[in-house]
Amino acid sequence: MFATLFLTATLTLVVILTSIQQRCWPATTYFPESYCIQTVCRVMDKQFGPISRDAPPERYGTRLLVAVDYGDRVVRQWISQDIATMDRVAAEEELNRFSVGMDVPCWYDPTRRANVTLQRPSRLELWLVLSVLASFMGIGSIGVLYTVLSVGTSAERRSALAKKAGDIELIRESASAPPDYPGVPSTVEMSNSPGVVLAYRLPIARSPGWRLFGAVLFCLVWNSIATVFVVVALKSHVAGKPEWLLTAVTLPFMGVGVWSIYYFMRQLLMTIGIGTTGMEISDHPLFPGQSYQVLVTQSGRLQLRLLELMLVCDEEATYRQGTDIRTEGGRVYSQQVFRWENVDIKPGAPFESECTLTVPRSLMHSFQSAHNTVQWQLVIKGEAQGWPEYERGFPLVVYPAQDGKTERRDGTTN
Amino acid sequence: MSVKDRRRTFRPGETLESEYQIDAVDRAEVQAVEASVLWYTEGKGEEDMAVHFFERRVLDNASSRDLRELHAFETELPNSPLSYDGEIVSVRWCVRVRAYLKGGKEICRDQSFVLAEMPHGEEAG
Repeated sequence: MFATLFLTATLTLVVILTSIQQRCWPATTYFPESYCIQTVCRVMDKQFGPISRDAPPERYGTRLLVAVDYGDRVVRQWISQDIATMDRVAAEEELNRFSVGMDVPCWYDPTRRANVTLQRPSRLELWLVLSVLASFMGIGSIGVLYTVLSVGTSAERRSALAKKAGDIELIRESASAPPDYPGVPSTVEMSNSPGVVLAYRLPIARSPGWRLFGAVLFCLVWNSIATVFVVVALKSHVAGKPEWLLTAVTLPFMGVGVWSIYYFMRQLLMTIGIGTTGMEISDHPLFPGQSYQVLVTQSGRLQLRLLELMLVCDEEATYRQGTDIRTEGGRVYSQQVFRWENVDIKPGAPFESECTLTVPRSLMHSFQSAHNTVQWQLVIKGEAQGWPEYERGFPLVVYPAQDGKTERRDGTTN
Repeated sequence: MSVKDRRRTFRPGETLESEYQIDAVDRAEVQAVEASVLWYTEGKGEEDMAVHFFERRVLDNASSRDLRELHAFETELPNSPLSYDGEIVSVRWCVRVRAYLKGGKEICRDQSFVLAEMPHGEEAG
């Protein structure tokens, strides 16, 4: 398939380029602008008049009698500039740009000298076609190369080649995994934000703002569509010709629309009321058997019956099912780190508390490959009076322990 | 194919020594042999695989080398990923030997082992 794509694109490109050079079909039909010649013509006369016999408003066009110098001879010919949207005033203004005896640049097709134009021909169409063909050639050649390398090459050998390529310094610098810990995700995104009290501020897994944004978007789009249905259905009823099928379809649309408004309002109140949750940690990445200080902050206006900090581990796997790509995940470990009860949070006075997290020894470290992950995170769960239960996760990276010792970022060992 | 001392569990940073030989095949039949130490995932997701050590030996008509003969290799094992038996995702390590025969045939054998962090003083078989 890739070979066919490459050969077809290459052949087409060669045909087009050759026809441009030879000034034959298909260039003469589809890309005459590619070999237009520029010359100078002299305005000998000018006219304008109505081009449409339809009812007013009339449309006007202009034409110029020019003497075109073709090099071997000079030929007089009329050039029409029929712009259908021109009215009389616009046509007069257009004509006044030229005066008799004036020399103006023009372009002509050497194979058809009758085709003279005063506007520089655009080569956009040609460049568009050439760039599409070039991209097909690129895709085809890469596919052919990959297929050639894959045929008769074992998966292990391809992986070894890829690993060798990854060892090139330039590529290694942009690699996502730390070089001494293959398969472990990078800590850059989680360690590049310093905390206020502790060393690092952990990013939140999914900001509640995005959920609110999604709710707003869905609510607006759905209710816009539902409104159109409602208006058309109502008009039909008012006019005495009720559209019952449309009415039957509109009712569930309205139901979903009302639910979307309720869901949006709920998300809005939750975002305003529950406020932001922050997480800081004394060191990152984490090592099994080590203890770390964790600072939890929660803002908002609510009374929490219970606030829990959990250390959890999730597995996730991606696979193809037919033409679909599916993802399956599950929580395989959950450990309570700390819990607070009866927390009263007031606006302007966020809740803050520090606690100690000890990472158990006998656990799998963080792992990430193309289709499978083992991900650790700190999760805050809150139960507030009058609010639904909420949960916010903060991903972190757990490294494997080494040799019974654990290595800190500063190079010291424990 | 066998691993030295018949060990099944290794710590990160330890040296894995392995050897293999090919029997019941004519010398001229074996065109190339690849030996690799790799990890792969198992479970519900698509299989991912990455090679830590790779070695390929090719039949050279100019020399009298016999690719079937006992051949040993060794490699220092990496820090990660450790072997893991999860509910949706598992990570497995193995030594793999693949022989390419005339006519496009291939023979492949795996010997699995465990890469794990063990407390000192604890040796695994």
